Amino acid sequence: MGRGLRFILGLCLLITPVLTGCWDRMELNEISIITSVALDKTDDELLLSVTVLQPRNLHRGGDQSMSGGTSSPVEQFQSRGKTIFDAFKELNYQLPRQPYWGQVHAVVFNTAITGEEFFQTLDFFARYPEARRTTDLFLTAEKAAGIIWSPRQIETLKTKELHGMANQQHFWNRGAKVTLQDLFHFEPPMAEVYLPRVYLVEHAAGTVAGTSPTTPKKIATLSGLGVLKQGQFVGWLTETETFGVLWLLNKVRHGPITVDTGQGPAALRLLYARTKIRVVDGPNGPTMLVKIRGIMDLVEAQGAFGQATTKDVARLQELAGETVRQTITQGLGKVQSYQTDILGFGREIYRYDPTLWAALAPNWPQVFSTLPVDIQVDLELRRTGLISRTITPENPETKP
Amino acid sequence: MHYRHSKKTNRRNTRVSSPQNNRPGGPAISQTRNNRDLFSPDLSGNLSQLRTIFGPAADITFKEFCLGGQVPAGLIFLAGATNTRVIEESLLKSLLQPDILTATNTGTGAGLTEQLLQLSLPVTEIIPCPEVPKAVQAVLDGQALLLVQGMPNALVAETADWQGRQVGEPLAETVIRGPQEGFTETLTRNITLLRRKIKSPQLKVETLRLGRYSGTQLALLFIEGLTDPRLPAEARFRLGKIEIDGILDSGMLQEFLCDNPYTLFPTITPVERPDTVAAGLLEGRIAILVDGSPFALVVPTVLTDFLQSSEDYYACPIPASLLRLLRWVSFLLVLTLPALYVAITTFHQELVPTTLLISLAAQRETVPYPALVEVILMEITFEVLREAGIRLPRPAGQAVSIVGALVIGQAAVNAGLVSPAMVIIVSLTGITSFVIPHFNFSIAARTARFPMIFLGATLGLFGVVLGLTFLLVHLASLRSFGVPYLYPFGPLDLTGLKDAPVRFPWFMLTKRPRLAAENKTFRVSPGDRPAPPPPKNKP
Repeated sequence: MGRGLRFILGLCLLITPVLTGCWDRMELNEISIITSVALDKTDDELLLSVTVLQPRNLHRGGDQSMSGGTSSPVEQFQSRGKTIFDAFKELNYQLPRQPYWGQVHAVVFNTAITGEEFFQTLDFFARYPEARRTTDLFLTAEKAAGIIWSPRQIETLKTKELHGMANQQHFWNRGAKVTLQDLFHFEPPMAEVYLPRVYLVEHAAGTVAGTSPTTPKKIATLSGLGVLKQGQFVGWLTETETFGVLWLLNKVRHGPITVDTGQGPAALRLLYARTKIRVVDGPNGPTMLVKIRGIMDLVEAQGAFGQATTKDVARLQELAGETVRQTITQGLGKVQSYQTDILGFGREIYRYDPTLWAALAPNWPQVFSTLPVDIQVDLELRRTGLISRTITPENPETKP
Repeated sequence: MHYRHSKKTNRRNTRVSSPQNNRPGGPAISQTRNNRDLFSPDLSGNLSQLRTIFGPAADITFKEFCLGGQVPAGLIFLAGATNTRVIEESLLKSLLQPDILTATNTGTGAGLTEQLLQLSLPVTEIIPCPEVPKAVQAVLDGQALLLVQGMPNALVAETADWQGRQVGEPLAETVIRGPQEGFTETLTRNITLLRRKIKSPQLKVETLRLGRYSGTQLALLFIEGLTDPRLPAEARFRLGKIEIDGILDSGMLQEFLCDNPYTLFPTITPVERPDTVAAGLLEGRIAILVDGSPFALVVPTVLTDFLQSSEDYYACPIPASLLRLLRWVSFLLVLTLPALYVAITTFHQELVPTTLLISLAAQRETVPYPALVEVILMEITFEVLREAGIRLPRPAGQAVSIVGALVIGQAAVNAGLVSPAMVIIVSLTGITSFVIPHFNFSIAARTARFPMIFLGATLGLFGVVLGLTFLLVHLASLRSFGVPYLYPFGPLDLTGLKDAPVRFPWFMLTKRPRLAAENKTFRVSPGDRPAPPPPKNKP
C-alpha cells in the first residue's frame, strides 16, 4: 500500500465522524428525563401519565431549594390517545424538550387496561433502544397516575421509592419484583403473568415530604400480586396467598413464618429455602409433587417453648412445615380458581411428557384448576438465637 | 528482533567511528590534504597560519614565550574553557625553567618532540599532533596547543575545564527512595556518573562529533557482551547519517534517531537519572550522551518503560507493582476520561445511575454550552495554566496558581460557564497526567485526548472505542530500533511480563528482557530467593 493511498484512507477514517454527524447526541439539558409512567383507561381512551424530572429543583444535592418544600423534583404530564402510540406522540407535543425514556424505572398499569394495550406498552419498552429492560412493572386498581404522582417520602423520586419497596417486598416474600425482562422468562412469554400490586393508603400526618403536617395524604404502598391472563387482569392475591405462590415458584428465600404452638406464638425466619417441582403419575392423571427444603432461625418464642430441647425444636419444625403447607394450599387454591397458570405447571408437564401435554393443552385452564398437588415440606430449625429459654413473667429466673 | 539497516552498517560506520571526524563544509577546516595541513618546523609560520584560521577570535589566547628562556615557543588555548591554574603552574612554569634545555637539543630536528614528551610535564595528558585541523579542533575543545621553534608538530595538552553546573537533584524525574543525582550539561561528568555505577571494562564508551558548526561531542555507551552487537552498529549508522549545523540538546538528536518520526509517542527515552541509564545498560540497551544536554537517550525503548519509575526497582515489589498499575490506569484516564464524560452525558444517559444523572442534569441546567464546548474550554484553560506555570518566572508562579484555582474552581462554576462535574473531570485528568513519570510520554497522552474528546462527542462510546482501537493499532505498528513498541505484550514474552505491568521480586527476574540483550547468561542467578536456613537435625 502506497504512502499516498494510506494517507487518503487515513483521512477518510478521520473525517467519517464529522461527515456522519452526531445522530444520537442529546445534551443533558435538552432532554426531558421521564422517570415513571402510568397507564389508565378513560372513556375508551388511554391515559398516559408521566413524571418528568425537573433538575432545577434538585439543584446541587444539599441545596436549600430541595428541602424548601414548595418545589417538586418532578413535573407531571398527561396525554391521551386511542392507542398507546397516539398517547406517546401526544406527549411529545406537550413537552418542551425531547422525552428521554432511558431512566424510566417504574411503569404502573391500571387493571382496566386491556390485553392489547398492555402488550403494546411492553412492545414499546422492549423495542425502543433508549428504554431499559430492568424497568419495574406494577399493577393497581386505582388511578395509576395517582400512584406515580403520590408524594414521596424518603427518596428524592417516587420512582426510586417504588423500586425500593418492590425490592424489600421481594426480599421478605410479601410481594414480588417483576421487571420487563422477567416477563420474557414466563412460558409462554407474557401470556400468564403476575405483577406486584400497588395501592394508596392514608398516611399518618406529618411525614409526607412537601406537605403541611396537618393534612393527611395518601401514599402508595405495595402488597400482594395481581394476576394477568393474556394481559387482562384476572384477580388479586393477598399477602398470604402471595407467599404460598412464591413457594411454588421457588422464589422464597428469607420469608418469615409465624406458627401458633398452642401455648403461644413463635416466629421463625428462613435462612435458606429451595422448592423442587416434579410431575408424578397419580390415580387421576398427573400430579404435581412439590418438595420443599429449608433452614430456619428462631426469631421470637413466647409461652411454652420453655427450653430449647430437641423435642421442642422438632415440634417447631413440624408446625412450621404445616404452616407453610397451608399457606401454599391457600395460594394454590386462589391461583387455580383464576384458572391462570402463573406457576409454570404446564411447562413441567410438557417436560415430563410432551404427548401428555399435547393431550391436556386444549383444555389446560380447566385441567390446571383441578390439578392435584402433593406438597412435602421439610424445614429444619438450625439455631434458636442467643438465649435458650423464653423470657416470660412466669419464668423470671431466666438468665439471658 | 531485527535492525533495518544492519547490512549497510559495516560499510558506512567507518565514517563516524573516528573520534576526530570532521564534517565536510566545515568553516575552519578544509578537507583537502596538502602541506598546509601539517605543521612546519617554522614557529612564526605555524602561528600565523593558526591566526588566519581562527581569524578574529577574542577568546583564543596566543601566548608567545621562550622555552627555557632561549627557544621561541607558543601556547594557544581557549580562555575560559581551560583551567588557567594548569596552564600557569603545570605548563608555563615548567616550560620557563632555565634548566629545561639542559636535557634537550636546542637545535632543530624531530628529536625535540620526543624529548619534550619525556620531560614529564605535570599535566594529565600530552600528545603530539602533526595535523593542523586536529590541532584546531583540540583548541576548540579546551586543550592547550604547544608549538616550539623547530618542532614539526604541535603538542596537545589536556587542560579543558568547561565551567558547568554541579551535579544536583534531577528536576524532571524525582524519586523518594533512590539516588538523588542527575546528569549535568558536561559530557565527561555524565560519563563519570555512569562509570561510577558500572565499574567494568566491558562498559564501552565511543565518542563522536556531530554538528557542522557546533561540533558537539556525543558518547555512545553500551556493555560489550551484553548488548546485541547489531544495536550499537545500528546506532552508529543512524548517527553517521545526520548532517546538521548544530546539536544543542539530545532532544534534537532524538528526532533523527527514532524509527517513526510521525508519532506522538516517544520511541526513545530521554533520561535524566544516571541510575536509570545504568539499569538500561545492564539490560543490554545503549545510551547516547550529548555534550550540553542533561538528558541521555536510551534505546531501544518500549511503552512500558514510560510508565515505570526507577523507584519501582528499589521499593518493595508489591506496592511498586500497585503503583505501576495505578500509572497504567492514570494513562488510560488521561486519554479517555473527558471523552468518556462527554460521550456518556450526551449519548448514553441510560448508563448513569439515576441519582447521579439527576445531579448532573441539575448542574447542566445553567450551562449555556454543549458538553463538548464546555470540556474543550476547560481543558484549554487547564493547559494554559500549566504552560504558564512552567514559563513564568518562579516568583510569579504562585500568582498563577491562585488565579487558576479561583478561575477554574470557583468563579467559572459560579458564573454558570461550566458545571462542577466538569471541573472534577478536568482536574482529575490533569492530576492523573502528572502521575506518568516521563514528561514527554504524558504530553503524548495529553495531546491524544483531544481527538478522543471529539470522537466521544461525535460518536459516543463507539467513537471512544474507535479512537482507542486506532491508537492500539498505531502503537503496535511502532518500533524502537527494531523492537516492537508494545513488547512484552505485542510479541508476548513471559520473561518480559515479569517486569511490565507488575514487578516481580528481584530474585525472580533472572533473565534480562529480550529487548536488546543477548540472553546467554542470567541477570540474577536462579535460586537466590531468600529462605530461612534448613532446620538442624537434633542429635
